[in-house]
Amino acid sequence: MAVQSGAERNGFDPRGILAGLARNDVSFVLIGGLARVIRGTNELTDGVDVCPSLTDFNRERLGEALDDLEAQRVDRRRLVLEEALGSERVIRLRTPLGELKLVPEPAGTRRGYNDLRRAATLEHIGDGLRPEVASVADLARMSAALAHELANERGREAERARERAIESSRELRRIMELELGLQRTLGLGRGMSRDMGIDI
Amino acid sequence: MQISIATGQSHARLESPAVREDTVRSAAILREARLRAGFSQDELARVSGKDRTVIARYEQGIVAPSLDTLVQLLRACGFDLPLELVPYDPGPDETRSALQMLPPVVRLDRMLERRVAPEEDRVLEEQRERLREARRAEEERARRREEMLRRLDEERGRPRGKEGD
Repeated sequence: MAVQSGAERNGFDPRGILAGLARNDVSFVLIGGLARVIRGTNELTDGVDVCPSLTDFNRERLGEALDDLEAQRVDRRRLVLEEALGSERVIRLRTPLGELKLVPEPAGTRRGYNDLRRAATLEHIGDGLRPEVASVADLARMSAALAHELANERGREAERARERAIESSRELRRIMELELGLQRTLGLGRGMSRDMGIDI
Repeated sequence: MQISIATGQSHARLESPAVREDTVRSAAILREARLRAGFSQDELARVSGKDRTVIARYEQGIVAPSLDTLVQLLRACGFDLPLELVPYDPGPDETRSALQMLPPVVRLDRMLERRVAPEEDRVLEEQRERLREARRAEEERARRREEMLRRLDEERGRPRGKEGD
């Protein structure tokens, strides 16, 4: 596939990373920039962010998937998955297919995976992959919470990250409005709008 | 709703004329120019040699003037419409709506294609910068025109922005 070869040239093959997780039956919800792109934002991203289920079985599967993907910590320390999942907010990993971030409990969520899974939907993204992708409303909620958290941090990088988070949150809210308008046009019920936290 | 005695047809369309999307911009710019010039529709009709009802229909967006007619009317108001080709830049709203029409797999492919084509992005960014430059120049021209018109009005001794009709 032309796109894949291009992506490989550029060192980022998100489908390859997601296929590695799917091959090992890892339960996760796709979040972050890639999820936002799949939901319709116009941005570029170079990593895959996932919020994994933290059950014992899934931790085991995740460990095997990371071995499969030849994942290593970005900071070059040895990866002890059990320990990292319990103590770190974001585990940044490098794989030959691109960066993979594990976020056990993303900003703005309670109990991470279980919270996000309720509104997440399975999306076809090609190559037979159908990951669970966080809902637009949850993505907006996470971006807004991240921006709030970053407000207390100093430094140019934090400021830029905060601006990006605010912009993402706004963009996702506009998408929610668009989807809501489409639902109205199609005469769909109030259920989805309630899920989005918007009163019709 | 009025009913024509002669034809029996409803006049609802006349009461709330359907505004065509493609006429909104010409309608708005014509009205803006006329009001800035301090003309009523009658006065503009007299100066431009057009019929007042035709001007009213242009301004309501019921009918779109041809480009030449629009320029002629704007010139009669003391304005010009600089015409130059600039790269088309879909605004964020248009881009967002277009993306919403695509399936997730295509959205992902599109992002990956953009990632591997930084040169195209650079060219696009240059085009956008030229567009922004053109817009800034246009704003500056508009500001100067506004300033000139204000001075003219002060010399004539009448307030600006008064509705002419």
